[in-house]
Amino acid sequence: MIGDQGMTSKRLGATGSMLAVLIIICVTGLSTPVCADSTAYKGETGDDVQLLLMMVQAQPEQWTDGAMGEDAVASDDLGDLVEQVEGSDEPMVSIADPLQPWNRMWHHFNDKVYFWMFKPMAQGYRVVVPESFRVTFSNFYTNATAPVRIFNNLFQLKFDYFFTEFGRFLINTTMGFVGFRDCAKDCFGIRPHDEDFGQTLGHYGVGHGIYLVWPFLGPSSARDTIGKGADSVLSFTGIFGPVDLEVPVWAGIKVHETINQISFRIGDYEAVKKASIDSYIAIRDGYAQRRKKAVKE
Amino acid sequence: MRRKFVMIAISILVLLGGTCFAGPALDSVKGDVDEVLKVLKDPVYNGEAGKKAKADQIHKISMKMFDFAELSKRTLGVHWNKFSSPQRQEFVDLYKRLLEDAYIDKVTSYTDERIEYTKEVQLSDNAFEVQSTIVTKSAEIPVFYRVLNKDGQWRVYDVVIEGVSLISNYRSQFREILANNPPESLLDTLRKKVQKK
Repeated sequence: MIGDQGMTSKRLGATGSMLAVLIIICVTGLSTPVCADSTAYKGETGDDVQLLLMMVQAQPEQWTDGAMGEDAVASDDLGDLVEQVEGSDEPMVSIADPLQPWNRMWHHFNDKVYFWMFKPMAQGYRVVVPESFRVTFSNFYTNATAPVRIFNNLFQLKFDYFFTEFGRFLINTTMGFVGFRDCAKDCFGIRPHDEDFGQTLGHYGVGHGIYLVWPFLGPSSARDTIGKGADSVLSFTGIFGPVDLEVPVWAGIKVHETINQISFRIGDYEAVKKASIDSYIAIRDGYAQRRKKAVKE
Repeated sequence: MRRKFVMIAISILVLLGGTCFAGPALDSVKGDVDEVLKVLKDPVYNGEAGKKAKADQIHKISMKMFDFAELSKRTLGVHWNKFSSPQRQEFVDLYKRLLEDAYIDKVTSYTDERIEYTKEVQLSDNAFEVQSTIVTKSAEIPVFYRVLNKDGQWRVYDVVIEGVSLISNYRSQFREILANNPPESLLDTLRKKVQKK
């Protein structure tokens, strides 16, 4: 049907293809500095590089115990770290957590909610609903929150991404059947650039404040909670006036969105939990690292 | 005319994308990952019977691909020096087993996701970050490998998935234990964790 690219471009018409060219140029503009930014990158990860240099110079040490398994590491690799940089064992990213006991309680609660409710629901759902349908729903929900990304890119004056997201929204809402198909990516290779209001605040220097774990919603922070609130106003229903939905219908949609999302990621949380010594800290640190990256981009 | 315009724009895009692709670090990571994929796709290891053999093969490749001593040092940071030599050896071994146990299921559950290698970025004289993306039907997951060149061998010392560095994540967990306890208590926690599986 629309899968054929030749057909698609014919359907686009004059304005459509001009838009496509505009978007392609935008995307091209973005990919240009790819090679050049290695030095900039170096600067940003200065701590990392320093740590690295320090560790590279580790001194080989003689080691007496020879009875090691076949996988034993060469003794040369196990020497002291020579230079100790003050505070180098601090995590590179951190987040204040004065409410830790409270947060841990909700972390525990969410763990149970996942294993007793969300996971079995998503597993059943995955059996009943074929993957292609689930992808289709996922596309729809993503498109419905396009205004969040459009406006937040604009707020951060990221005009290239603003046009990318705006273009994606136009293409997917029309040619993608109200967003059920991510035609912008499939037909034109235009990839999304996620931004939310928490990132906008971060972009202008607002810190996390404190770490917060919400029941059902999971890890967040004071800043990102405010961000979520603002984004709900910016989302599709917020802008075009709340479509008159009964509360149960709205809740049903939210639950479907959640289960649909989880159906793709069954096993991820389990892996994190299995790999961690303290899953609470692992997730908190993961959240802080991920959000830091999101704000930077 | 308009079509020509589009074609030119696309070819510029392709050209720019292709200029700084490969390098020795990227080739090395890609080579190792390809080996893993080959094992995963090999019908010899299908079913329950082949599961153990498959895991063994992957273990062999990971021993070559990862520098677990480097990974351990970077995770512990200055705490490393508080460990005695036998403790260091044991830590490296336990940490390695913890990671393998936790991620082997994830690796073997791979089906037909596509892996795209974007570029390599130099971090220091002999360290590079190889950037890749795992493309699934519903998402694109950025996976970056940080590799170090030792005597001409490229080996991974950190993996950054969706912006989360593996060694930083463990550092924040181990730090809590090492802040108030001797190295032995971290080793004890790891021993229990690894045996529990």
